[in-house]
Amino acid sequence: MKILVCLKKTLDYNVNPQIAPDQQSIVETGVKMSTNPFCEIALEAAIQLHENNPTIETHALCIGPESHQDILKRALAMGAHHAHLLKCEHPLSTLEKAQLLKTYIENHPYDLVLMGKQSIDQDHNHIPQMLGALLNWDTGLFCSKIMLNNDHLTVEREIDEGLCQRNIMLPCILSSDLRLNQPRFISLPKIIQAKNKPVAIIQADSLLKGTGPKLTRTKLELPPARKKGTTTNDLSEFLSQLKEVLK
Amino acid sequence: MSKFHIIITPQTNESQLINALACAASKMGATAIDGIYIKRLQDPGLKPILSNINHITTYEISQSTSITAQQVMEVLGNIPALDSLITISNTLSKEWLPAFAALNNIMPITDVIDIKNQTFKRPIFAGNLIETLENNQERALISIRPQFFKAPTNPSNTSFSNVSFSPKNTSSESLLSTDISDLPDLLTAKKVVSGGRGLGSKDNFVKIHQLAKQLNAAVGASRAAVDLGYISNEHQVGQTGKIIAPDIYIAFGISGAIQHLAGIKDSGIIIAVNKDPDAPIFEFADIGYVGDLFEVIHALMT
Repeated sequence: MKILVCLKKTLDYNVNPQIAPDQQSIVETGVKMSTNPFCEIALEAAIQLHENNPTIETHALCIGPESHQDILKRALAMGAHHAHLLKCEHPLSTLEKAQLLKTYIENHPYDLVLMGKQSIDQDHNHIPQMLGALLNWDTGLFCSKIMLNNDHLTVEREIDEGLCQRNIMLPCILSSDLRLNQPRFISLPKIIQAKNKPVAIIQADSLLKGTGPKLTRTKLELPPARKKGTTTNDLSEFLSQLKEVLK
Repeated sequence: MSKFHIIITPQTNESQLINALACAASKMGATAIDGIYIKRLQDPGLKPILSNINHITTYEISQSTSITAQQVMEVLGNIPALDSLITISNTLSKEWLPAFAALNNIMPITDVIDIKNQTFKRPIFAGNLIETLENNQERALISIRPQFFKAPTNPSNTSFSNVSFSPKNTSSESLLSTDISDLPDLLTAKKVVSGGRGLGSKDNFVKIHQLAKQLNAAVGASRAAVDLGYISNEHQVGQTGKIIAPDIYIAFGISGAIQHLAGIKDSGIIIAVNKDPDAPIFEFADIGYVGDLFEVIHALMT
């Protein structure tokens, strides 16, 4: 069984994003970049599956320029068996990425695709759904538990109504929610060892059909700021304020 | 672009949500709005207090389990000449809208908070920034956060029709846990009482439920409270949980991580109770109390 884990490189979750002077993009130079936390959870899930079943092979994949190889090396250090970079120099929309992944997977068959449910930069929550539709594969979104049985998976998913459970036949696509697992710590020796492991580079530009941008970002701005209110440690003062509000 | 369909599935406060959808469609310059309502046999029909919508077709699915994304897409696949679609952002539409968009080679615009013709604003980076997008496509597939689209309710003469629909895709999904309570729905409630790690235990979290009941408020929770098992996931408020904007939000024992603030920052009045004076929530709260949350709950209950 082959698992593909798709990883996105994003601003580190501790970094406060800054608007570039063009008012349309984010400052990325000199800023810490990391693996999108949701993607790292998906990778941890794949590694846990192969640790329990040695016939499983985990492949990590990233779409982006050559500088994105660092998060693939990190994935190898964490425990992925193979790493692939779909090399593409310009930014792609979620739809273009899903179309690209569809073409890639049709040429490189996998049984299970694991992805983060959203990226912490764009907060889209699109690609697993889009890829599932394009491949016509069953899709289990927002997973907080994944159990592998013989020919199918049982997943628990977090939806607005609560927690639900269903069985999914392979091949399928799963997207991870935060409660799925806690990604492991990667030791320094493993990071050093992974530096010498290969990353396969596939030219992605030729796989893309150029159609011009469907959406254009025209502006980036800060949301209206909330003004700081009053804080007290006087209970009776606070209660009278609160009771006034609740009237 | 002038013809619009709004897509709605059974939820609490449907008429409020339909008004928000109609408001969003008119901001896009819609001249005619039709509705598609997808429900199960046992769900009650829509109440006829609807604004600005010509006609609503109800698709009644012959099953008892929850409606799936595949079924919504099947219904939509059977409707000829669909143009632009607008729906509410929720976990069901998060499933079907991107899938439907991909099959139609359209880039969807999700979690929209403002619209002006063909430009759309949506929050990114957990609400730290707002991006404005221009749609260059002939069709628009949009999901909105309803609390940002408040339109006056004008009763109008919407006509209704019914279609029975037997989906090929039958749902095999079972709901493992859900909170059945008579408290208001979290997404649309005017008041929300929320608890975090500071409650200390599942037993103590019951006090949040009791206070919510007394105030006729919905119950919310931080990610930490859900992770610790104090309450189930559907109450989680934040970047990855529910994004809410009640008139009054009261947070007990929530420190206010940026991901939590992403879910509440558009609330009317934010009230925070926390024993840590340096908790980030006090940077956002209109009224804050540094001290014991149980004393506050006790005082409000008596």
